[in-house]
This record gives sequence, C-alpha cells and structure tokens, in this order.
Amino acid sequence: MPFTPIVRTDKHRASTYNSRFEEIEFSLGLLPSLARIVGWTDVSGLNEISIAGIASTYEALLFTCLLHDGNTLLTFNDVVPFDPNSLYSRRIMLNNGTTGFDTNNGGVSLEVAASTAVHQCPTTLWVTNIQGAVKHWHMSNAAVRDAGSGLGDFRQTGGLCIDPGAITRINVLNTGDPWSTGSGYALYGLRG
Amino acid sequence: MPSYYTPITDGEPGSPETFNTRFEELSDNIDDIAASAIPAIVDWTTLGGSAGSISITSISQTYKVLKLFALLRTDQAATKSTLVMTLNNDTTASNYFMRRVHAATTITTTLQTGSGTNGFDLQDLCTGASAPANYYGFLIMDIFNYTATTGRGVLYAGYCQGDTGTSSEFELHDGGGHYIGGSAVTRLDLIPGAGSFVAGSKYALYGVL
Repeated sequence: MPFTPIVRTDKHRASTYNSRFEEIEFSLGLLPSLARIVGWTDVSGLNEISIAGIASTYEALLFTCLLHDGNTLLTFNDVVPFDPNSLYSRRIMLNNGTTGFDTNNGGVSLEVAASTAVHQCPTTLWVTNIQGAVKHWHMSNAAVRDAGSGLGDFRQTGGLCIDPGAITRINVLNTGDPWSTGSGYALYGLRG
Repeated sequence: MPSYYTPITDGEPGSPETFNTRFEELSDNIDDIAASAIPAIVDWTTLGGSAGSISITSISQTYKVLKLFALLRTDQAATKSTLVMTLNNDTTASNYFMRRVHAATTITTTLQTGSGTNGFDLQDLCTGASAPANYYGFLIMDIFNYTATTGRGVLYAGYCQGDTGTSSEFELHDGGGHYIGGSAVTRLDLIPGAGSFVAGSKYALYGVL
C-alpha cells in the first residue's frame, strides 16, 4: 500500500490530501518501460500486417507473433524485398546442428512452416538501435510440425538491417496461403 | 467514469474512510499495473567516450529477473573482441558455469565449469575497431532469481558480425548457466577482453516483476 492512510487527527486541509496523492504518484514511477504499441491482433484469413507511425521515443522493439503457413517476410520501413542493395544480413542456427549465413535476404524471414492447420509457430523478435543507422535484431522461432511429418525446427537468428532512417514502420508479407485461425501478433516498444 | 477509483459523491461524509477507500482502490490498480511492468533500472545509456568496463551497481532487489540489453564495440585492433561478465565484482572462476552453443561456419558447443575465466565467458560478443562502422556486438541476457544467495540462472543470446566479406565473421551465440557466489546480485560488470568499449556502445538494464 504505497500511501499513508489519513487518520482522524489529520487536519482537513490541502496538504493532508496532496501528500497522499504525491505518494501514489511516486508509485506511478513504476509505469511499464515496455509499452504496448499494438495489442494482440488476430490475422487469420489475412496475408499482410502493416504497422505504421511507430514513435521515435523507443530504443528497441519487441515483435511477437503466432503464425501458421505461408512464406513470410518482415521488413522495416517497407523496403522492397530482395533489394539489390542487400540491406539485411543474418546468421541462423537450427536445431539440426546446421548454420547458415546470408546477406541478401531482403528482410527478416519468419519461415513459418506449413503443417496441420492447428499448429502455430511462435516467434519473438527483438530489434534494437531502431533510431540508429544499423539496426541489430535477434529472433527465436519454432516451426512446429505435426508428428506425422517429423519434428519441427527451432531457430535462433541474429541479424543486421542497414538503413539510415529510424524504424517507423514494420510490414509482414505472406506470399502463400492466408494465415489460419489462431494466427496473430503484437508489438511492444522499449523506451529509451 | 474514471477507471481506477469510485468517485466521491455528494452526501458522503468528509471522513478519513471516504478518502482512504479511494486511495486503496487506486493503490490496488497500481499493483496490478506494476505486476506486468519491466521498469528500467538503468535506462538506455550510450557511452560518450571510451570506457574500460561498464559497471551497474546498487541494483535494486525489488524484481524477480534482470534483463540486460547491450550493443558493444571496442577499440581493439581486431574484427571482434571477447566479453566477460561478472556479478558482484566476483572474479572467482569457480563460481561461474555456462554451456554455450556457437554458430560460425559450423555449430560448436563449449562448456565453462568453474575454471579458466573469472566471470561468465561470453566470448566474441563485441565488435572491434576493424569491424564496419556502426556495427556492434548484440547481447540480451536474463538473470533469474538474482536476489537469492543460491540458484541464480542466466540465459543469453547474442551475435557479432566483425566483417561483411567473410561469413565466418558473423557469429551467433546462445548460452545458459548459473552463478554460485554466496550473495544476492547487486552489481553487474561487462568487461572487454582487450581494449576499451568505445563511444556509441550502449546498454540498458530492466527489472522484471
């Protein structure tokens, strides 16, 4: 209880009440530093996510999603995929003990596996230094398959996005079948 | 209609109970909000000049988990630099244990079992002076149960790209381990293996409730 209760002997004047309000205001300093930009949003039946107008007050972003099916690419500031200037580079590490490196991916590939419709693939993507010239991002995701087609993939990916502009927009484009029931996403901002 | 308290209405007595009831409603709602918060212990801090190490001291014991973000670069004449992290300025190697998976051109795994390094050996998670401009080593780490005197676990992920022309220069790391020093964690230090952190390196520490 972050305030001192008023007692009958306290004088009925402004300072009595203001001091309690100030105690509660001090507690409000615990307001979240991880702010919700877009709350959990259902994307079943859709092929695209478009988030614009991301404020410049954030130092980092957390994008989380649960998606089923489709070849899915996430880009910052709506840069055209497969841009020959190769703005994205990454190293990926897979559960099968292999690793890959590329500098021409055109975006952050979410690599959502196609499988039984009820299976969704979770992803967490941290993007830091979003106001700077080189964004550093890290992603964990799992492409779960049903037992009949074998084990799924678990991946860790680290990467860079070289774009002189601050990130103000995120687009996610699915060029395959629309996302199934249960797919969704959320975006949070970590304040500087 | 306000969301967090019941407005005072005409006819209610001007008694302490009238006000205390509203204060309690507000206080309960603040507790609910705070339960989902990850307040900043150290807001994002960008080095304005070189630093031999980064020290975060007097860490509040209010939270359950510490979450550290860092983007680090050193002035070592190399593409990458090693990184060591200590807790409580404890340089006793036997207090640090870590299993790490490391991806370069192949995936390897290494084990740190209380010897060799006087802190968590996070290996090549800093870019060096030879790395492309504005490239930093990336680190995100969770430190669990840090207020206890036993059972402190850490999980981290990171990477570092020291050169764009050689694929082996992009290293991805994931690791986990534990710290067995006998005191609650009140201090955290990041120490480059060589040289100093340079201006532009940045870090932040959050507390998870």
